[in-house]
Amino acid sequence: MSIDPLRYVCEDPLERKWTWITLILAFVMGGVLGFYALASNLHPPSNVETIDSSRLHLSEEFAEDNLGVKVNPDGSLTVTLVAARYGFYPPRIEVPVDTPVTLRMASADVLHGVHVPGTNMTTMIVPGYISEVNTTFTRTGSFSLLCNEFCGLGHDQMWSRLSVVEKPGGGE
Amino acid sequence: MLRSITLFAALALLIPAAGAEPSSAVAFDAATLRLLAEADPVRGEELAKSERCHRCHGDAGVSEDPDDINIAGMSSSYAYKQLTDYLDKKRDNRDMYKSVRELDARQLADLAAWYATLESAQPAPERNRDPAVLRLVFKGDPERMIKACASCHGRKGRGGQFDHPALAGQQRAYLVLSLDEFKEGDRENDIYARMRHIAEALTEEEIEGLAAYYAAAVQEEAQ
Amino acid sequence: MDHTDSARLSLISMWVGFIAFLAAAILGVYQVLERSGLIPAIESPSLYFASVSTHGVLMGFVLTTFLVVGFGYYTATTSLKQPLWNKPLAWFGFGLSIAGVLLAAVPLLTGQASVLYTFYPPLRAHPAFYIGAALLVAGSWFWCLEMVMMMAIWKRDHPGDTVPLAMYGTTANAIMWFITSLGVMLEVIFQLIPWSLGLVDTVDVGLARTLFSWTLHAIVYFWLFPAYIAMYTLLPRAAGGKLFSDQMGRIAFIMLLVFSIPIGFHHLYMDPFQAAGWKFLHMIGTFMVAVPTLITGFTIIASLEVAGRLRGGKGLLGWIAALPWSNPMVTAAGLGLLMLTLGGFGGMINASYSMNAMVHNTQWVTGHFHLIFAGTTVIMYFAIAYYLWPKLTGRRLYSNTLALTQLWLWFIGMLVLTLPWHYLGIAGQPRRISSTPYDAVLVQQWDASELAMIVGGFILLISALMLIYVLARTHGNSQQETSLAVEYAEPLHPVLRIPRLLNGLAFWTVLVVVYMVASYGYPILQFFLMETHGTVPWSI
Repeated sequence: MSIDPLRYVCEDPLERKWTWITLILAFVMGGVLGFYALASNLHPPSNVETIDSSRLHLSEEFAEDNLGVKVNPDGSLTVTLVAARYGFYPPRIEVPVDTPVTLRMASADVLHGVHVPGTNMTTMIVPGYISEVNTTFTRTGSFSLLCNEFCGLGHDQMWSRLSVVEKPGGGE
Repeated sequence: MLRSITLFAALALLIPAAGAEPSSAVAFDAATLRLLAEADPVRGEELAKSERCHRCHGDAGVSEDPDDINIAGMSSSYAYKQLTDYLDKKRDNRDMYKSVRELDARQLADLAAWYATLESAQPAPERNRDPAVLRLVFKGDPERMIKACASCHGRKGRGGQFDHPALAGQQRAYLVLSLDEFKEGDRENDIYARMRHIAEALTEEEIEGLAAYYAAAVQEEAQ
Repeated sequence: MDHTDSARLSLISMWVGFIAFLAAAILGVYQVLERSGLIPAIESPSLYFASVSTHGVLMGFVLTTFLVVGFGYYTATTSLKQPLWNKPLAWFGFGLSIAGVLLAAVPLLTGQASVLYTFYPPLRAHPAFYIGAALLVAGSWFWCLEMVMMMAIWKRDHPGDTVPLAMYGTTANAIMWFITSLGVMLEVIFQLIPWSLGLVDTVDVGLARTLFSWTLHAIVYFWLFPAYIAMYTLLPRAAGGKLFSDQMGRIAFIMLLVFSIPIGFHHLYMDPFQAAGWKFLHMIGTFMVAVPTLITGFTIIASLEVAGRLRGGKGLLGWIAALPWSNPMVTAAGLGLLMLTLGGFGGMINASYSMNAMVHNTQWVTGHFHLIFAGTTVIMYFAIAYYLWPKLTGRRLYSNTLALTQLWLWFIGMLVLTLPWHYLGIAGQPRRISSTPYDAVLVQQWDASELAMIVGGFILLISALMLIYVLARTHGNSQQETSLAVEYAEPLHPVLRIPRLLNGLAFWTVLVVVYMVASYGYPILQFFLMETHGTVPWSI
């Protein structure tokens, strides 16, 4: 005969069963998410790096000629973007499909957010901090980066384009 | 010999670095804002007299010559940035460079503060109401990723924060010239190429139309 | 009857809330019309965002605070059957909150505080907005003190007796609100007010958002508590039955007190200035806070089943039809529980560490919080009003039929408004936009759902007007209300002995504080240990 610890707080057996179900539900959901987070390295953007947003164009990483798509030695890409009222710069980016991409973003002014409908690219861009998102675009096509945090009266107008294209040339 | 090679190599390394120049040395950080806040418009007025800014920009900052620029009512942050860009040669204009090269940052801030107090010119009453132009001004063109002008320059064209200038009441020829210069890449002091990206996509006709929308009344007609 | 000395304060406080509600509902209709694109003349970002800011502040801060406080005072005096602990202080707190609202209203209505109800820096509002917000919260702290004192004095005067469930929940809410509101108060007093006055040059946006997140989750439980208290202590009797379990009610309240505050980072999942480990910790707590809601769902529905069967309902589901649906409290609870189910499901997506990315800052979020707050919580506010107005005014409710119609319209309007928003969010529409000037491919996908907004908005406005009409006419109703006492539900199994832990809140308060230090301590401290760069003020 097992002793149900919930007996001390819950008299009705049906209610006790339900409470067990809710507790298990909470643990299972948390557990599954935790497992996937740790096993697949699936974490929300959480690098903690600071930068002076008021002098952004004078920094090294976010200097004007350092923006855009760069290929890393291991074949992955680094995309450097600036969010500034009211656009994402550079406004047209092209990346190959099925290639790991690291997006490095910073704000030159206020709080912005960015997401790309149809992909899992989303992050806040907080002045004073650098945002980093690691993802792989798995479908080719034309996508939009949309600002999704109120950043001023021109917030509606703040967006840019992303093109995901086939990988350059197969074997020859 | 080794020392010369080292020196040579060091110099050679500097050359690519020399290409990586920011489009403007001005940053609106706390220090710059403090400089602007402590600027004195009275000193600025004296400077404007001694430097004879009125020769091109008119006594009250509204130019009589349609080929010059109205600077009355310009936000002090924007004016300060342009003056500094002229000084640093980030913005290329011989006349303006000669005008400011003897001045220091505080004096530039004072001048900017003085002109900010003056009343700006108004857009012409019979301004352009072409629906295509109005659409560009208030809604932009999503297909070409042209933002509504009003989003940065304000619903009434009176400008936004820091380096988003007022457009309403500016000289028509100067508005056309500015957009053309951004379009061709002759003017590059818009940080992160924000205006260049837009101007590149505009047609000449649209540039003329937008200038007509924002421009001040032509001086001869006002007489 | 010394416990009616709170009646006047309660009634006035709740009226302030409902007037704010009506004003905000009208603004809401302007907003959906503006978004529709049908009337180009009213399209204006400055007007739209001033409206959204005002609408958010009125609904989220004014309606709620004044209703919770008003309902809380009346619940305290009627459940404990004793007068207010300190009447002048209670009125003073109310006055302070009113002063705060009026102070903040000026910049809000003149477009100088269009920073939305979340007022994230570095967009800067006029200092009067922040000062007004601080006064509003400070005023509510007097209510917190009153609730704690009244419960403490009652326990001293009734040693060993069981604290009435309604008061237990109210005091738990008061303690929870005080602790959670500290976050926004710290942000406003130490960061935003000095910065907006120009006393400091810059503000650390990361620290500000972290402090705001401290308040941001539990504030919704501050709003929700009265709905749960009404469901546990008023609904069962109104339905003709008893409360299924008094004990589980206490446990639900305790779990809400303990788990609702230290979990704010699910609002910061997408922010780069907090490490993933802390976000993970907060996620676990966020899933735990779903448990008291699930428990409440069971207890309340079980209580309704008891009532339905007592009224002759037979069979597996026959008890549902047997419930007195003509009682506004019963209808509101039924509709509210439906909306809670839908909204709660959405909330679980938002809480998910890895799925949040799909919905963050999209229109899904707008749909979620309108469904769960404007839906479940506010419909129960209506139910509380319909229940209390006759007792507070001494007049019969003006029209039961209008009340029921109003509740159904609210439910329908809310579904029409919020369900398309959930879809729009998944389809990628961002939130907080006054127009959609994006690529045609995206916009076309959204068109149909955009129009649903207008229909929903108008239905809700009609419902809002009906509510105010019924409540206002009740004041002048010629028929007297005969049953003036608040009839609290009795538990199915009488509470003979109650464990001390379920009759007091001191232990749980200490637990929250410890939990808070663990989950917010270092995340806040880090801003003082690393070199951060603040941001200068920006206008909208």
